[in-house]
Amino acid sequence: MPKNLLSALRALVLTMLLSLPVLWNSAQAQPDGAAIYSANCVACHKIDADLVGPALKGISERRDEAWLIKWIKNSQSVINSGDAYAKDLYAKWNNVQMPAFDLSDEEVKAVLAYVKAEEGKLAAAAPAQTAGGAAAAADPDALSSTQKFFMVLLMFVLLFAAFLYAIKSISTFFKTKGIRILDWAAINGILFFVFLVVGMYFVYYQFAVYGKYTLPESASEHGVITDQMFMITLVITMIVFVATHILLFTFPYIYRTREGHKAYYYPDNHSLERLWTIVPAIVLTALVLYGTKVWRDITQLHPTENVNTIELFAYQFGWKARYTGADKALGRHDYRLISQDNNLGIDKKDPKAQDDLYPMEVVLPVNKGVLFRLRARDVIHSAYMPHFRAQMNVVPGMPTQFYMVPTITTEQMRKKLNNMDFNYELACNKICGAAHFNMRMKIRVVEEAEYQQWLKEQRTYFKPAENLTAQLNVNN
Amino acid sequence: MAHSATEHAHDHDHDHHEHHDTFLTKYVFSQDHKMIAKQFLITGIVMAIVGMLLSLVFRIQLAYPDEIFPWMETVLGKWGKGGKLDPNFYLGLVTIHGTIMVFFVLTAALSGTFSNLLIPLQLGARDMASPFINMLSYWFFFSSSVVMLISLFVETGPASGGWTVYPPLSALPKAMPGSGLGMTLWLVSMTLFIASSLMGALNYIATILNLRTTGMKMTRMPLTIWAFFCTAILGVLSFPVLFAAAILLIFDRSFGTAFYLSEIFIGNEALSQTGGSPILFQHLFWFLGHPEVYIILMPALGLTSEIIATNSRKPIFGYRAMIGSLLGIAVLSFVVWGHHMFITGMNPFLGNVFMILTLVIAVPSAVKTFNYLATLWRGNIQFTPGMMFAIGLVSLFISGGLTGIYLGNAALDINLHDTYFVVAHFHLVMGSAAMFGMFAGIYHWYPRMFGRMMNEKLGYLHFWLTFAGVYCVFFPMHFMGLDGVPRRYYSFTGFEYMTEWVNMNKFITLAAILSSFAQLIFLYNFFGNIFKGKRAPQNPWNSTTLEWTAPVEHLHGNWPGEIPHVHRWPYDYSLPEATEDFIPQNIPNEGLEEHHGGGAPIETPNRQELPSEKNRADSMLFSRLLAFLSLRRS
Repeated sequence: MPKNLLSALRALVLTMLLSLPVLWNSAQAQPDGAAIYSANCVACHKIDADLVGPALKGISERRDEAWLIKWIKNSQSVINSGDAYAKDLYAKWNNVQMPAFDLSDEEVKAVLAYVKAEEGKLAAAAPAQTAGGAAAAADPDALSSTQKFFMVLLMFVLLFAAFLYAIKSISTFFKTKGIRILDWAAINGILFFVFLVVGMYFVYYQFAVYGKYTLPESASEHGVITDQMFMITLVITMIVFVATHILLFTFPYIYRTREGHKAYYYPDNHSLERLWTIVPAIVLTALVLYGTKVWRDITQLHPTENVNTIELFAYQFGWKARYTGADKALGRHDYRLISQDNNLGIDKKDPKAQDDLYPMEVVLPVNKGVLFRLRARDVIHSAYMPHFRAQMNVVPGMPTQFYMVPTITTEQMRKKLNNMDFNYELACNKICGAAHFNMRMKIRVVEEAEYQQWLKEQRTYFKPAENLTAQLNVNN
Repeated sequence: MAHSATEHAHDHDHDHHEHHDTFLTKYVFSQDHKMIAKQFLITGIVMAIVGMLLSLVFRIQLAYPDEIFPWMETVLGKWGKGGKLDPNFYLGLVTIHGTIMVFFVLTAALSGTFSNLLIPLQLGARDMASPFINMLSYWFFFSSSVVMLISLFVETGPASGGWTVYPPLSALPKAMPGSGLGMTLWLVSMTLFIASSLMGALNYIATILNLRTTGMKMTRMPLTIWAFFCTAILGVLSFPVLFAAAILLIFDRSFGTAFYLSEIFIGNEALSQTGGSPILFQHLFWFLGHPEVYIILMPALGLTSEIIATNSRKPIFGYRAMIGSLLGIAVLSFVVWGHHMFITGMNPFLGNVFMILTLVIAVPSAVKTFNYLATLWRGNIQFTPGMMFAIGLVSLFISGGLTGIYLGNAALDINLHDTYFVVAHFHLVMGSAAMFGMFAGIYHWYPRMFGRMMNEKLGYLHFWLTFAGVYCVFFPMHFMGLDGVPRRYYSFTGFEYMTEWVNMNKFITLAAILSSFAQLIFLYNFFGNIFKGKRAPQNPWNSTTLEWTAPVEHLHGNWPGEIPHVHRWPYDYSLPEATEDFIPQNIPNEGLEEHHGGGAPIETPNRQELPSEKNRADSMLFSRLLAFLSLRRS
C-alpha cells in the first residue's frame, strides 16, 4: 500500500514537472481516425449532408489544416479571436457551439484523413448514382418525393370530397322520395360493433407483427425480473382492456334507441360499486407491492464489493467513459477544471486519478456487477441502455448512479438475434439540444478474459502519466 | 329587454347592465359569460389548428427523415434550409405543440368554454360571481396566446426545451438557440396564462359556492359542475407553484441566481453558479404538472357524464360514487407528481412512496369507467355526435389509462421513461380523451351556444374518422416504446435498432394527416352553422338540466323572468312512474304531468325551509359535504 502511494506520488511530481507531449507521442500507437470520428463527430456531422453542423465533405479544401486543428480543439477561441470565417460559420449554424475536444494534433489529423478517405469512397460511388439520377430525371414518369407527397395528399382530399358528395346526394335522393332507408341509430350501433371487431384484430395484428420488433430478451439480471413483471401487468391489463371494450362497444349496438323503448331506471347499486372498487384495489395493491420490491432491489440494495465502477460523462453531444485503474477508485473531479485538455475536469493532483482509464467505448465483463457513476457537463441528459433495461438521468451538479449486472455478451446476443451487426447502445433520453437524437456510445459486453486484455490496451486519462508510471514501475 | 326583467327578479348588483350594447361591449370586451365562453372556444380552436399543423410538420420529418421537401424552405425559411427541417426547429415544434395543446387548448379552451357557459346556466345564476374578472381572464388568455404565437417568429426560434422546459437547458441560451428570446417569450406567455387561469378558477369557485339557485344543493349539482369545481380548486392550488417555478427560472436566466443551476460548464466557460438543483424545478413543475393532467381530464369527464346520461336516457350510475371519485382524484393528484421523476436522480426511496400513491389513483379512475359502462347498460341510446364522442372518450380513457399502470410502476418505468410508450400513453389518456370530451361538449352544447344545430351526419363522419385515426396514430407507438425508441428524437436513422421503425412512422404520419383532414369537416360544420344552421329548439336533447330551460336567444341574466327553482337531482331520466322519459330539475313532484311548461316558476313547498339565496351557500357547504361523505342517500 505505501509503495503504491509512493509511486503515485512520484508519478504526480513527475507529471507536473514534465508535461512534454514528445514523451507520450512516441509511445502512442497510430490514432484510429474512424474510431475518434465515430466517438466525437457523428452526433452533429455527416460527410455528405448538413445535420446540426455542416457537411464535412471538402473540408480540407475549405480551410487549411492549422485552422481546422485550432477550430476542432477549441472553436470558441477561434470565434473570439475575431476570425471572420469562424464568426460567419457560428452565426450561420444558429449559434450552436461546437464543443472543445481534447484531441491531440495527430488525432485531429487522423480524423481529417478519415473524412478525406470517406469522401473519396462517396465520390467513387457517386458516378453510379448520378447516372441513376440522370436517368430518373430524364424519365418523365419519375416524381420527386415532394411531388409524390402532394399527390397522395391531393388524392386524399379528392377521395374525401367524393365521399362527402356521395353521401349528400344519396341522402337528398331518398329524402325527395320520402323514404327513410338510413336508420342512423342502427348504422352507428353496428359501426361500433364493427369497430370492436376490426379494432381487436388491429390490436392482435400489432402484437403479432410489431411485437417481434420490440427489444430482445433482457441482457441484464434485473431486466429479466422487470420483463417478467411487465408480462404479468400486460396480461392483467389486456384482460381489462378487452373485457371493457367488448362491453363499451356492444352496449351501443344492443341498446340503441328504438321506437317506444324506455331505458331501465337504474341509478345505483352499492354492492356492484363496492365490487369494482375493491377488485381493482386488490389487483393494484398486489402490483404495487411487487413493484416496490423490485424497484428497491434495483436501486437501493446493490452490492458494493467486487463491483466495477465506471464513470459516464455526458455533454452536448456525446458520452465519455472513465474507468478506475488498479486502485479501483476514480480520481476527484471539479467542473472548474474542465478545459480543452481536461474534458472531464479531473483533478491532476489526486493520486487516485493517475491510473484512471479513458477508453473510447464502454466494455463490460459479463456477469459482473457494474456501477455507473453519472455526471453531466452542461444540461440534463439521460443514460439509457434499453437492452439492459437500464436508465438514469445525468444531472449537472448532482451525481447519480445506476447498478446492473450484464448477463449476455455481445457475441452471444448477435448469435441469438442472428444479426452480426448488433451492438448494445447507450442513448441519450432526455432532451438536451439539437443533436440529442444522435448522442450515443457503443457498449460491448465481453468475457472476463477479453475484458482484462482490453483494459490493458486503454490509455490513461492523463496522457504523460501513463508512460511515466509505466517507466517508474519498470525502474522499481 | 332582459335586464329590466332581471332587475326586479334579482337584487344582485350587476354592474354590466348598460342599456345599449355597442359592438365593442357585446362581442369584444363582453362581460357576459356566454360570450366569454364563445371567445374562449374560438381562440382555442385557432390555437388547436396551430398546434395540429406544427405536429404535422414534425410528423413528416419523422416519416421521411432522408427526403428533401422544398416547400419546407418556402414555409419555414431558414428553419427549412434546403428542404430539410432544422433539428433545432424540430425541437421548437415539439415544444410549442405540447405547450399549445396542453395549456392553451385543453386547459384554457376546454375549461374556459364549458365552465363559463355551464356554471351559471346549470346552477341557475344570472352570470359569474365577477363578470369583470371573467372578462379579464379571457383577455389575459388572449394576450398569452398572442405572445406564444409571436415566439414562433423570433430569429433564434421558439422555446425548444420540451413543454416541460427543464433547466439548465431552458435556462442557458448557450445550450440551444431556442433558450434565448424564444424562451423569454414562453415565460412571459405562461405568466399571463397563469394569471388568466387563476382569475377564471377563482370565479368558478365563487360562483359555484354562492350563486346556486333555490333548491340547487351541492348534491343536486350536475356532474359537469362538480368536475369544474374540482378542476378550479386544482388550478388555484397548483398554478401558483408553476408561477413560482417560472419566476425562479427568470431569475436564473437573467439575474445570475442559482436556484436550478449548479456546476455547469458550457460554451467553453465554467459558470459561477453552484448549489442549485435542476431537480427542484422538476418538483415545482410537476407539482403543477400532474394536477394539470386532471385539470385537463376532469372537465372532459364531467361533460361526458352529462352527455352519456342524457343520451342513454338513464341516470348516471352511482352519482355519489362519481362525485367521490372526482374528489378522490382531485386530492390524490397532489401527491403523485413524483412518478414523472422516478429516474431523474430523486431519492429512490421517494420512488416507492410515489409508486404506491400513483397506483391508488387508478382506483377512482376504474370506478368512473365501470360507472359509465353501467350507465350505458339497458339504456335507450341516442346516437348524437356528442354521445359518440363521449363513448370514444371512455374507450380512449381505458386504453390510455391502463398503460398508466405500467408507467406508474417505478421498476417498469426505468425502461419506459421518456420513450414512445409514454407518448402513446398521454396522448391517448390525456390528449385525445380530453379532446374527445371537448368535441362531445361542443356538439352537445352548440345549440345552447349559438342557437343553431350542427349537422349530425357530418358529426358522425368526423367522429369515425377521428376515432379510427387517433388509434392508428397512437396505438403503434406503444410498440416503438417497447423497443426503447426515445421521444423527442429528430430522426431514427442514427441508431441501428431504431431504423426498423421508419416505416411505422410513415403509417403514423399518414394516419395523422388523414385525421387532420377529418378536422376540416368539423371546422366546416362548426363555423358553417353558426349563422346558417337549423334553428335549435329550446331543449334539443330532452335534457333535465337548467341550461335548457333558458330561452334560445342569449339574454343578459339568462332567464327573462324569475330564475327556475330546483326540486330534484339532475338525472331523472326514464323514471318508471313518469310518462315522459325525463323530468327537468325545475319540475316539482306535484307538477309532473304539466312539466312541459319549461321554465315557468313553480312554488315549491320546501322553498321556505331553505335559507335565503345570499348567505345560504357558505354556511351549508360543510354540512353538505359531511352529509355527502357519510355516503348516505338523501
